[in-house]
This record gives sequence, C-alpha cells and structure tokens, in this order.
Amino acid sequence: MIEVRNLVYEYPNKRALDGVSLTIESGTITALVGPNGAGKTTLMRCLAALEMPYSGQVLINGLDTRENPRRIHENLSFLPDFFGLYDSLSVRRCLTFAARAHGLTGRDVDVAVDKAAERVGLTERMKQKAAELSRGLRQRLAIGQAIVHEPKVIMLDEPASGLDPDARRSLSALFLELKASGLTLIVSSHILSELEDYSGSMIIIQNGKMVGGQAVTLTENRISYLVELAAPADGFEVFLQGLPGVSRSESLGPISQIWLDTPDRRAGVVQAIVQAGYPLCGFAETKRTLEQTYLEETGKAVR
Amino acid sequence: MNPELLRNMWVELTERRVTLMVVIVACILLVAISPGDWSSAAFTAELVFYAVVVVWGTRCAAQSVVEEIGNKTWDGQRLSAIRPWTMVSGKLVGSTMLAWIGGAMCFGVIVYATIRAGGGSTVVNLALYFLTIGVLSQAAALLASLVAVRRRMSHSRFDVFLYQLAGLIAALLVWRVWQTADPTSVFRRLTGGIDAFAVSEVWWWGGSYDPGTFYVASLVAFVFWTLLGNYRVMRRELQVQNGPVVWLIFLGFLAAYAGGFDFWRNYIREPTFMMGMRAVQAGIAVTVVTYVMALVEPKEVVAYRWLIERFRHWQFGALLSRFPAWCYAYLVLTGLGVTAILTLPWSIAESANIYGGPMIVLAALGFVLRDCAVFMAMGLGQVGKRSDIAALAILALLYVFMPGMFSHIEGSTAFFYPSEHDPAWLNPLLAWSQALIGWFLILRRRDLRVRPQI
Repeated sequence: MIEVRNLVYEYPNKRALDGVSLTIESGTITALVGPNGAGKTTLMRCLAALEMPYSGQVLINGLDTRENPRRIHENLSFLPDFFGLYDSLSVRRCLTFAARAHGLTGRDVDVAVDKAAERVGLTERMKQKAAELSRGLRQRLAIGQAIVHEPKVIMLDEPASGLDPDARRSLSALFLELKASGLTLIVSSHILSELEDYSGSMIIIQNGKMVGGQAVTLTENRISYLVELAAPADGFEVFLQGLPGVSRSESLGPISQIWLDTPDRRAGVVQAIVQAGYPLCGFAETKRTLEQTYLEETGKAVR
Repeated sequence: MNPELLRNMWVELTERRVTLMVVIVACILLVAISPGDWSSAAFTAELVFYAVVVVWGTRCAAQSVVEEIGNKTWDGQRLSAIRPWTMVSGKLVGSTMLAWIGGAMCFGVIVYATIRAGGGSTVVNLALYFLTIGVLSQAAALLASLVAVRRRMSHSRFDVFLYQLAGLIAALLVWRVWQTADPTSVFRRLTGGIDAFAVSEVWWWGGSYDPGTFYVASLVAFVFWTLLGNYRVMRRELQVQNGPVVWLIFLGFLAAYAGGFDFWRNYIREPTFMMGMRAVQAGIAVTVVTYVMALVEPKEVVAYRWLIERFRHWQFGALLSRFPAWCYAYLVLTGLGVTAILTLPWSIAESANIYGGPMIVLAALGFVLRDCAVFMAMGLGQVGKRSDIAALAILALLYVFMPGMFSHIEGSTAFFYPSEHDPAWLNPLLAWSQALIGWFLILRRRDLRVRPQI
C-alpha cells in the first residue's frame, strides 16, 4: 500500500506539490493525470524515493522514503518518460543486469530474465543489441527491466508514448496481468483513452494539489444503461427508480439513463418495463469515459 | 559478483578493446626494452603508466557516472538494490579496468628494471606508490564528477575534462611529493639532479621517518579518505542521509596530519608555542577544505530555507544532520583558530610593537567567513560553473587586484586579507565587519525567508 501524507515539494520559486495526501491500495492500477507542469512527475519521483520532499511523509508498504530509501528502491520500479538503455548490451544482458542490480543471484537470475522476456514478448530477440531495437521494442525492454525482479510497485510515466496501437494493446494486457499477480501500478499519461482499459482509479493533480482530495474510483458508476421509449411517458422516471436493482436514474424526454447494482439486473429491468406497458424501443449499455470523469472532476474543482 | 562491475566488464572488456590495449602497450614497451637499457625502459614504462592509468583512467572514472546521466540510465541505477559502496567500487574498478591492464604491463617492466638495478627492497613501496597514485587520481576524478552530479551541473566534454582535472591535479601533487624522496626521480633527471624540496627524512609529531615509507603510508590514508568520500557522496545520490560524524573524523584526521609536520623543530622548543604552530598548520589545511567545500557543495535555496526553518523551530538535531560540510569545516577551523590565538606567543609581535600573530589568526577567521559569504551569495540558487567563476573572480578581486589598486594607501591591505597592522585590531575588525555584513545580507534574501506558493 502507498500512503502519502501532506506531501510538500518545493523548487526555489515554486511549490510543485502542496499538501498532497493519498492512499493507493495494493494490487490496483491507478491513473495519474493532470495538465503539463501539474506536478505528476515530481509526485512520482517522490513516491519512488528519488526526490526527498520538503515536508510530509511517503510510505511505501509501510517504509518511509526518508528513512528507508534503498529498501524502497529494491521493491519498486519507476520507468520515466525519457528512459535510457545500455545500447551496446544484448537484450539478455540488459535484463540480466537489471535482475542482478535488484539483488537476484544464481539461477534465479536466468529464470527471472526468461520470464520477463516472455512477458514483454522479447524471447526471440535475446541476442539482439538494445541499440538495434525499434522504439516499441525498446519500450518493451525498458518495461522488462522494470519488472524483472517482480517489484511490488511499478510506476510508469507516459509508458505508451510512441507505441503503435498493437503495442499499446499488448501493454494494457501486460498491465492487467501484472495487476492480477498482485502488483500495484501507477501510470501517468496525457492520453486518457490509453488509461481507460486498465485503470481502476484516477488521481488528478492540478497546480500541485490533488483535485477532489482523493482518488476517483473509476469502476463505480462507470457503466450505465440508456432506456429509450418510443414517446415520453409520465411517471416513467419514478417507475424506474422503484425497480429492484436500479440504484439511480435520470430522464430527459423519452430517454432515461439508469445505473444498476449489478449487470445481472438488466433482463429483469427490461422485462419489468415491457410488462408495465411502456413503449420500450431501445436499451443499450453506455460507459462513462475517463475523459468525461476527468473533465467532470476538474470542472468541479474549477467551480 | 558486483553487478555494476559485471556490466562494466561487458562494456569495457570486449575482445577488440583488450587486444588493442595489449598490442599498443606491448609495442611501446618492446621498443623501449630493445636497446637493452633497462633504466630507460623503466622510464618509458613509467610515462606510459601515467598516460594510461592516470590520464586515461581519470577520464574513464570521470565519465562513469556522467555517461549514465547522458544516456538516461542513472535513475535506473539509483532505483536498484545496489549498495553505495558496491556502486562506487563497480564504477571505479569497472570503468578503469582496461587502463589497469595496460598499467599492469608497464608496472611489470618497472619492477623488473628495479630488481635488475638492485632495488629489490623498494619494490613493495614502488608497487604501493603506483597502485595508490592510480586509485587516488581515478577516485578523485570520480568524486569530482559525483559532486557535480549532486550539483546538477551540465556534463559536456569540457565538464568531464574538469572532473578529470581534479584527478590529474591529485596525481601531480602525489607525483611531485614522491619525487622529493627519490634521488633517481624523473623530476631530478629533468632538472639535472636539482630538487629544492628534496628530503632525506620527514619529521612528524616529533619522530623521524623514511620519506618513501611516510609518503606511501600517507598515500594509503588519503586513498582511504578519497574512497570514503566517494562512498558518502554516492550515498547522498542514492538518497541515503549522511550524518556529520565521518566528516568530523576526516577533519580531525586532516588537522592531526597537517599539524604533525615539524617544519620548525630547529627553532621552536616551547610546548605552548609548538601547539600554536600545529594549530596554525592544521588550520591552513582545514581552511583549504572549507574553501573547497564552500565552492563545490550544492547551494540549493530550498535546502538552506529548510535549515533556517529548522533553526527557527529550534530543531537542532535535524539542523545538524543536514548542516553543510563547509559549515562543519568552519566550526573546526574556529576551534583551531581559538587554540592558535590562545597558544601563539604575543611576545614575538610585541617586539615589533604590534599584536601580530594571534590577531592575524582572528582576522583570518573573519576573512574565511567573508569568503564563504561570497561563495554563498554567488552560488545560492544558481546551477553550473558561472556562479563558481563569479565567486572566484570576486575573490581574485579582493585578494589580488584591489590590494594592488589601493597599495598607495597605507594599511589598505587590512581591508582585504590577513596582514600585520598598527593598530593590530584593525585587521580583525575589518575582516569580521565584512563577514557579518555579508552574511546579514544573505540571510535577508527573500527566497531564504519566505516559502513560495503554487
């Protein structure tokens, strides 16, 4: 678990982070979003114990970044947006160095290297030098280096920039796989659609502060259903609100939007509407995008 | 195996590079050996050793961290589990391995020539000298580059040359001192056998020592401290806090080392006076360290603001844990200065009707504090060489140009540097006035007092 308490980071003439407090549960993927210069990278560097805050506290799995920076470094990976590789080394040697640098020894190194290569799809290129890899493959190698020692927390700054759609898709799948194996991921990106597929919550940083004071859970109320009637019907909204499993509803003319406790309720709701004699002509699932959520949250903050 | 060392081996010790090094050095040595004059061969081997291990080795050491920053791999290393000492040794040994292969070949020729010439008994000292001059110069270059990394300076080729220069200067000093003890030295060959600083014995803390042995022991001690310096700066770079204890022990060592030389043994016998002289010698060494640290330490506004805030809240534990190294050096210097003031005889100066000795020490303390204020004023919030150059230019102005300009005014030097004057209190008064005004102005800076907003 990551806990940040009243984090302040200052530059000589600017406060980059101003009293940020947050909690990130283990085994989750959190999107870190915000405009340029908002403080996202500074926050990530503080979380990675690469920068020491002016005041406040950062706890990674109970370890304070001030008191135990090296123990935190052992169990954490941070892939910056502009990363480097040892170009003259082969993929295998790059991964081997990363594994050894994180304390792996003996046979564990080879096992970890092969596993990481497989996860990022570089098994066939182990003998190739890093300099010979394409942009996408270099990104994969960097991620491979970041996960080779199976850290508990991985932070990635703009991990998909420069990747083609296929590579992005496989990156999303990899993140979900890492999450399933119990890792905590924090991913920063400007491209909100990219974060959509795998993020469970979102932290919005604006002007060095956390918008809304807490992480926005993205799974909650994210999926809703549009119910369309052939013509507007009086009392339909009240009817919908009375149906079992409907947690919330909003109506505008013949179209209503409803939120269900679970998706299993869909058939029952449709059946109830038809049985009640309403002229149902459409029922469709709709997803609130991350961008909508972001704009909503930042809009609230502005208001 | 040390992962950083292994990585460096992968990069440095490629078949092609090793072959090239061995072939080039072997060719030079073979040409030197072929006439059968082993003395000349040893001379050539020594020069090649310096070229390969010292000149090229310092370059490699200076580049070892800087290259990582340029290639954007440094954050990855900082985020590893590699311990600070493992990192230092991996970089120092790893980046210079190829140079040491060439150096070992040269050393073989030097040892053989020495044994042939009947100097077998000096081989151990010789081996320690060549090993330590190599390690010391390379470690000094790495240390300079690490300090620059901490200061977030740029890392152009010229910058790397400056870090390398630190190693070269260290090597030159060691070489020159070593030459004073060696009757067959390269220096004496170049000057036709004349060396004004040649010594046949070293007097230190009342004892007489063989210069060769004393120098080797000193070199080993300084190599230890340089490596420890690397370790401590690397710790900071890896975000581990350093306490002040080791730094204070180093200052104590330096003071004891410099204060131990009995240059005046034939003239001074009185114990209190001797203590005063030792305090002055130690003070000079600590002054050099104070200046170096005031120049090279990062002068981040945020860090100093944090310190001032701790001071305001009376949090002295936190304050002392992050106190700048130059401040500690200055505190030790003050202690030595007070010792000198209390023990140096006033009578010597009295004969000239002025209170010279102790008053000059008091003035020197003030001038050092003033100069630190100059470093701080120029460096606070600035990154890079410009602030250093500006500070050094101001000091040149204060110590060289302005005294020259005002030389026609009697006693004007009292304003600029420690010197004897009548009345004797004038010099310390002017020194301390400048120091206090300088620090008052610095502490009035808004960015040190007021924390910024978003």
